[in-house]
Amino acid sequence: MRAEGVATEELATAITELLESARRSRAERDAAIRERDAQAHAFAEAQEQLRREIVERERAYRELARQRSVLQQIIDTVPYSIFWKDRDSVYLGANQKKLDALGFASIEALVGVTDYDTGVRREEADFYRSIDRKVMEAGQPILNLEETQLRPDGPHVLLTSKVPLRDDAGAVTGILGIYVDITERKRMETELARAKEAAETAARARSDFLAAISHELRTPLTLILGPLEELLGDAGTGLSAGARVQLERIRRNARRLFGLVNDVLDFTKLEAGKMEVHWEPVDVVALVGEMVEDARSVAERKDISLGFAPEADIGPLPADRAKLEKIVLNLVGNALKFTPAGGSIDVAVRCAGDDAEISVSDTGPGIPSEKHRLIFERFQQLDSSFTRRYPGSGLGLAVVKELTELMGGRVGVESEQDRGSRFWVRLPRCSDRLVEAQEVGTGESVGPRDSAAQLERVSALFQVAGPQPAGDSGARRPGESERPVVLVAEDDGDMRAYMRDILAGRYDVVPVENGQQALEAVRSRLPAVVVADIMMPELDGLELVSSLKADPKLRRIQVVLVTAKASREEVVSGLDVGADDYLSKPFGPAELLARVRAAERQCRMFEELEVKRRELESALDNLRATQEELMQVGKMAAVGTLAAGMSHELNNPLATILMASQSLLRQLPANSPWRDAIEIIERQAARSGRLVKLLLDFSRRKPAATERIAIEDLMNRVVELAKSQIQGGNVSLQVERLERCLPPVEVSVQQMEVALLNVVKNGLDATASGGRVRLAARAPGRAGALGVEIQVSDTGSGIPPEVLPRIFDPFFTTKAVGQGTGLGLSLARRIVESHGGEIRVQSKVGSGTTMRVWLPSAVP
Amino acid sequence: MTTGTAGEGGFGRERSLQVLLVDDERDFLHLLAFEFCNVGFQVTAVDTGRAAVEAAQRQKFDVAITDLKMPDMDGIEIMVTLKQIDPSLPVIMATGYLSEATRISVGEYGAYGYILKPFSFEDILSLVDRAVGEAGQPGQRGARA
Repeated sequence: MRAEGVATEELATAITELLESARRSRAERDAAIRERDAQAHAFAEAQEQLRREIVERERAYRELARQRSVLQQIIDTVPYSIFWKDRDSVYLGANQKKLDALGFASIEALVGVTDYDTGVRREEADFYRSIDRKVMEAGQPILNLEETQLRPDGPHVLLTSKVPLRDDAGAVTGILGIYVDITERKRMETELARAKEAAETAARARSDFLAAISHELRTPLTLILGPLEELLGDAGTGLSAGARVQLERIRRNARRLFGLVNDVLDFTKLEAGKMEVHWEPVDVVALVGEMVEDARSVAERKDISLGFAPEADIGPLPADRAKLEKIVLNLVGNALKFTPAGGSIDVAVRCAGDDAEISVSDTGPGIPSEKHRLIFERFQQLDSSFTRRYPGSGLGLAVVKELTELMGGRVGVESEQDRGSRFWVRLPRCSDRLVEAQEVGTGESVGPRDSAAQLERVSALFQVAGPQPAGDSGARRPGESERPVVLVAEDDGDMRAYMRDILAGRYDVVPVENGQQALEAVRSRLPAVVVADIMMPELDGLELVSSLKADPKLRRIQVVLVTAKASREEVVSGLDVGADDYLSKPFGPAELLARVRAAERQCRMFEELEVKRRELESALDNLRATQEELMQVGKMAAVGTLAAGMSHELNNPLATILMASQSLLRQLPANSPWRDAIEIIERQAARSGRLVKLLLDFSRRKPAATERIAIEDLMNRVVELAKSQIQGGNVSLQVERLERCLPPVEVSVQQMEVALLNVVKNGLDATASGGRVRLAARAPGRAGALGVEIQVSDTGSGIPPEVLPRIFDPFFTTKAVGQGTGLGLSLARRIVESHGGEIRVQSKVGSGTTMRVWLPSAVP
Repeated sequence: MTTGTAGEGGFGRERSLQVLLVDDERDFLHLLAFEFCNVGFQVTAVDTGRAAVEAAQRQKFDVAITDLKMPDMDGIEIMVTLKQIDPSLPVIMATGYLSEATRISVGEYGAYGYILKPFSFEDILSLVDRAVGEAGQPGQRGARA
């Protein structure tokens, strides 16, 4: 039993051990499991860390790529030349613009050379080097240095800045240079200043021209209207009905001309600031009421109802009576002109705050809102195609505006197309001014209102009433929204379809199968964005990017490369050849869309930049062209346009006056007592016509056809013409014996007649109270050119030295207002000079004047 | 439209010549019509381009005188239309202003000639006589004043 006891004990021990062992081994296993779990966990964490790092790095790459792309675009597109050199002024790099400026084909050719090898002049290279040294030695930048560089196409002005480049330790390692070519800017600055001056001169010339023509025409028109009124009044009671009709026709047209001329004169006076305000208290209701009554008969004849609604208690207004009348007249006249038969015009006077408001509403065609501002501009109508439909000077409303503003008021219009218009004028009712006006403005300078003249003007306006102008037929084309084009280059059909489906909602997608097709499609479709797989047959994604980025026209197209695996090498080499972004497979729809959208925005930005640049260029071109035009023809171009409109307006009534008077003269018996008066009318109408023609000639630029003419013939023709101009018997005009064998000249005979006639007339005017004008011609030897000189000498009083330099200036005249245009001699000079000739004057006070016209002889 | 004839006082023409006058200046139009009637023309005077074209479709004219600027049609347009209706019709352009460019195009479109306002009746009459004479009917050649 003992043995059994021992055995049992052993067994127990063994079991216990066994159990212990089992427990231990379980614990060990658990520990191992725990260990493994911990390891697995750590591994997972490490993996997660790695993934985050990859994502982060990817984002950094992308950001870098974007920045790089933007930077490259900036360096490529900035209008600056950029370069950098080492300490010895050896080139290390430059942007395309710098290469272009130097005429270098590639960057490789520039790297390693100095300015002495770039083809610039030695002195220039010396200069650049000295500046480089200065900057590097001082360690200080030099900014905005203006320097001139001589290039094959002429000198260029460069604005340069140089900055020292430093390493991390701060030591100067080289130099960065940036310059911009400001040649064009410099030129533009000068040209702009000149253009501005030319424009101002042109505006002045326009005014002067108008003033001259108007002044000149007043005299003959007065001479026409004077005898007319007499004939149509008591003196002409015996006239036949037919003759009366003719005379009335003449009067109508003469008045129309008169109105036109007065408008223009008013306006030029305003423009020259020659108008003064004569303040006085004006009963505005009474004044407007009277003018409305004046216009009533005209309105009735036109079948227009004319209403007047005054506010009773408006009181006296400080104003210039004559100017206020003109304002109302022009407004009512304007309404009468544009309101069709059956329409209505309502004139109102009311208080509007501190102002008095006079308004004229009509049921005319109305004015499109974009024209509201323009209609108060001067010459607006004259320049428009409506001129024939609504003949007039086009100055009426401009005069209203100027006069109102002169009195401290404002003008405005409310109008809608086809709805009629309401013009208003507001004048301040300021009582201070009224006191002032009462004290100062006693009305002595203001004559009584000439209502007859007013009526005439309204009547004149009445005649020009016409049909309604056609509305703007600016039908808008249905807007076709242009969707940006995206090209997808992908050899895998399913992938291509997938991308196309994602992008089709927003873009015009052009799917192609390989790089070669992509390149062809890009040229024809000009996409904003190209999404290209890197791995493609024919031409791979990298080659495609290189080709696109090498072409300046295609450079702006944004390229998103698609990489099959997240291969760093592929991404890096893609970005290296100029890809703008990349996308790793697999990607979701949102990611593709986001990339393409960003790329498309980028492309649009570059396009906009490009458009802006082109706009600027074309604006500059336009400006240059306009300015050249202005410079070339000077102020005459501006006058030319105006002259065209004016002469049409003037010649039409003149034609009627002239022909009607001639018709009358044919009908009247030879001994008719009215012949004298009508002959005056005819003569003055013809004179007006000549005057318009002269002014038109003056404004014409193109020389007429030339012909060869013997100098004797030319002079005889001029004398013949001039003889008819001699008034009084004490003046003699003679041609002296001419030198033999004078060479013929090649001229526009008509123009040269005008030129010489003006020179001769100048002499005749100088000797009007008695004297002699002699013409002579000789062939003086002149260096390099054969020619003939015509001398016109007079025995007049001579020209004072201070006046002498100005006698050829347009509109310069020593004659009394209405006596001369002041255009004769300047026209003569212009004609002579346009023939390659020259005109000179010699004069001494007390002993007469000699004009010498030299003309080149005709080529044998 | 105004139509009129003066039976006598003509310039000894064998038959009355038909003239078409186009101008929107009413005074001028009536005056010109009056003068042409006086020298024995049959006158049709209209003040719109449309009326001119209608008149030319209704009857044959020996000569037409038209203003260059009309409210409804350009003078050149009127001329071209008139010449489409009757290619042998001489058309004279009358205008208060003629730019160099218009002067050239007036000739190119086949106007017989142009005359600048203001002009005397003699001026226009001699131009018309020349135009009618050159238009070639032997019977009319003697009609020159």
